[in-house]
Amino acid sequence: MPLVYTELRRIANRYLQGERSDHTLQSTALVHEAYVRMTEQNLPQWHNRAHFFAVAAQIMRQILVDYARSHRASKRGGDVYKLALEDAEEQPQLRDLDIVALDDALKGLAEMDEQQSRVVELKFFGGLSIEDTAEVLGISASTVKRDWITARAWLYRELNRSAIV
Amino acid sequence: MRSERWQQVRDILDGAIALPRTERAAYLDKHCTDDLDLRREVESLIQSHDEAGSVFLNTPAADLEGLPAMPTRIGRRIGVYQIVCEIGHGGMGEVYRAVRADGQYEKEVAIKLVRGGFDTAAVLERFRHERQILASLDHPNIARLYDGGTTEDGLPYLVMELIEGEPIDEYCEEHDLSINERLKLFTQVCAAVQYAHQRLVIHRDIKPSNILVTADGVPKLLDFGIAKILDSTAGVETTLVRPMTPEYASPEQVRGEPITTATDVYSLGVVLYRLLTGKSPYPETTRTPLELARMICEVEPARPSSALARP
Repeated sequence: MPLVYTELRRIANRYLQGERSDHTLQSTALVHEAYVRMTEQNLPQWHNRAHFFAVAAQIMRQILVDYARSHRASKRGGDVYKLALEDAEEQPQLRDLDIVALDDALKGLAEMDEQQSRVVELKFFGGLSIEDTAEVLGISASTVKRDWITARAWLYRELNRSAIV
Repeated sequence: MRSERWQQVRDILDGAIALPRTERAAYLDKHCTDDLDLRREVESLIQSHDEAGSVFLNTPAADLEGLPAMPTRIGRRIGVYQIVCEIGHGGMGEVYRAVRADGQYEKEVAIKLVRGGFDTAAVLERFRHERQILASLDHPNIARLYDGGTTEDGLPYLVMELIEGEPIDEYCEEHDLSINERLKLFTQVCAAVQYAHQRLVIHRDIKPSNILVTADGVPKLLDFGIAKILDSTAGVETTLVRPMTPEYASPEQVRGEPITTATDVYSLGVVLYRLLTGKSPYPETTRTPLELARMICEVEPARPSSALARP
């Protein structure tokens, strides 16, 4: 258990030490909640770092998708909850990201290519770098980079499709 | 798309994206030969790649602005209370103003709702354990804890005396209080803490936002002992990850060591420092919580008198 804690604290610290000084509560709260859920799962032991990060990213994804879904359900008229991207002004067409739709698309990607969906989960939901993602999956950094680029293109198209329908 | 087909698409896509735009057509001619579907598919994805630019998914989810909030509870009932409006929120949950909905009397209260996802069973267990002690704290400078329970959807909540006032540091600034007046206010806070310590209750989270001064000029300490109930790691020998600003934390809290009444005294000292100097005892250049934690544990703060002399 202490290992889980240290690792999560490390993730939290990395978030907190980012260049932006205005994001403190949200990401810490998210990491805290991830920690609580991980301890609730009562896993006997973490096999290694990779196992830990894989589970942490999965749980972060779960939390965010659950929140987005509950928000969606609470609003009448089926209004979709969206996360605003920080560079919204630069690229208005990318202003909103529908986390629930992304989750669905990612499930579709997993059916075609399990490894690519895990790359996206670790990098986007887990906040890992290319190098850390490579370490967790036991593949090379250049493979992660390639997987990331092609998966992103596919996901982007899927999200735009579902937005139009 | 079947996965063999995707492998094929992916490999050509990967090769095409790596090339300058002007060379892509020739590359596709070569690799898609007469498979028109394949070519169309790859071209469509190249377009998506270009449109996605550098922003799409490149900021980790936890850093995105506007993480979804929980659905609103305004107007709903919690126990015998009806929620009037939200007063504040933080990493642990929200605080609401509420009134008794059973018409017994017109009393307004503050309700602190613990956000979903925390270990609610453990929170309730600690609450049951602590409630008698906390509810018995009866002091004019301590906000009362009345009650607590679980909402219909299983979230723990606490019902507390509603205090309307300003954080003590802002109050002192706005009313332009003299050093003497500040000290008078502060000694009342100390008396309240002493009262609780004599009953073996530690506050654990003393900071200006937990010390409100009412319109009558009475300081009131909020959330006495609440940090222990909400702390998911209480009793576990590990360091804390808590969604709080550590500025008023003591070295033992930062290090995750056992907490004593001295912990509160340390935090009171930091509050006093701010009331007297208008500054934090730690250098303003300290930015990250990690840096701050190091300062708290290792660096002797500048004396308040010399802090005042600083520009």
